[in-house]
Amino acid sequence: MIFGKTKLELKLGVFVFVGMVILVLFILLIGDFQTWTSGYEVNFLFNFVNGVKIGAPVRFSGVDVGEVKAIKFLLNPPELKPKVQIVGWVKKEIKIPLDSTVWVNTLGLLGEKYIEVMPGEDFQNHLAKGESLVGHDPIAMHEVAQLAKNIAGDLDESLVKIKNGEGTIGKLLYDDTIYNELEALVKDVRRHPWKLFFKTKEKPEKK
Amino acid sequence: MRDLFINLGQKFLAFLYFFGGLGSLVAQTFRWTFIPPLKKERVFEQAKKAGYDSLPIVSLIALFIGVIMALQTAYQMQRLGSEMYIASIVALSMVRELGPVITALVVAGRVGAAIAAEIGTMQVTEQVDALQTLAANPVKYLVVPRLLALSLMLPVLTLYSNIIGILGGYLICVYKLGIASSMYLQITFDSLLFKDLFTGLLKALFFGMIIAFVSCYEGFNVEGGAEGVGKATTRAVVTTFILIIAADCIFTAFFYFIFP
Repeated sequence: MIFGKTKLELKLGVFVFVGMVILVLFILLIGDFQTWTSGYEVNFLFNFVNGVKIGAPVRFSGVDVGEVKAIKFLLNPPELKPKVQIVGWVKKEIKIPLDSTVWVNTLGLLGEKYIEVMPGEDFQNHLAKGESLVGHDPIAMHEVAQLAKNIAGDLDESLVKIKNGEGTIGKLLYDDTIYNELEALVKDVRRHPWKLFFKTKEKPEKK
Repeated sequence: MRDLFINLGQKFLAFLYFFGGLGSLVAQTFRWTFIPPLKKERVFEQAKKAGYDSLPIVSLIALFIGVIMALQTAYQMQRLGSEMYIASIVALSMVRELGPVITALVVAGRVGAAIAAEIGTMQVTEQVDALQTLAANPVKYLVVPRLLALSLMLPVLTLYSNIIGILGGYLICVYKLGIASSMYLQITFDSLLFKDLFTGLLKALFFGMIIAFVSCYEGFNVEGGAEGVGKATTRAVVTTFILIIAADCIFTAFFYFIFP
């Protein structure tokens, strides 16, 4: 028996071959061609990462240059406080200066989290493979909420006082004494404009 | 009232018999698949019928489904001003869901019915008995090539239908809605994960098995003459459709809850 001779096998071969080409195409396009770009791994250390996920982009000067490969807890024996170690993969040609600023940023208001790297000035010393950079912790949402609550509380207190006519601003807004005084003054000035210039009249009276 | 219960009981028994018989066929087929010799040209012949010959109709339907998906999504997305997401919705729903299911339904209607009618006619004209007389196991001779052909060809057909469905969405979005071509492709392939592709292909593999087993089972179980063959063909297609949708539901729930 000989294979690979009949028309039927040719048709089937073409069919399956094109199918496999589509499969390879899908895999390469989904995989973002990362298979043939080389890079290296660096670590970013945080105390709090606000829900960064594996696969989140790493941006350098605002350009996507890599992604988060792994997220680990780093237990430091002297401190006993666990740190979060984010293993980021970045392209080979990207050199991260050691004085760069790293933080967790959010895409849009509620969007996904990513690692933002703002390059520093010192381009002579850059992060080598496997080295670590300490990141700035993002402010936790509940802290922001707490702050806003405190501010709102203070504001509310002041507003209540103002409304009750307490304090300078309260009196200015709700007490019409000054208004009445001013009105009287303006009326008086209008009626006797010379009063403005005539200054010394009162002096002789006192004398 | 008594008749009703007797009827219900008989229906339920028939249902159990169906699953038992199908299970027995599945077990025998898997056993015979690994017993050599495997006649390759018989598998190729069935693969051509199931795969190559189904390609035009599968492509046509996939193209239409892609166009429909894009238009229906555009209807809602244009109100929200987020036409960008049409690309990812079309891509995800084609690759995860519609690609495998539509392909399976088309192949079930086209090839499953043919298998049931073919084996049914052989059963009625006692050719299946003749095979046994010739010491050729009917399961090995008839079911194994069809099972291999369908379960291997359906994933390939699904790949075709995925890419053509995405092409359908592309045509609408680029030439009707004015989304940039590179933008559409970028969003399409950004939103897809390997998981989406492979769960779709795995589904297609199982759908192929369902089509082969149910069609062969109904074919072997033909009673009576030409009328029986017709009934068996109808039953094969209906049962296959139900089982495909049910299996799809189970798979989707499985991948949603267990491997999110």
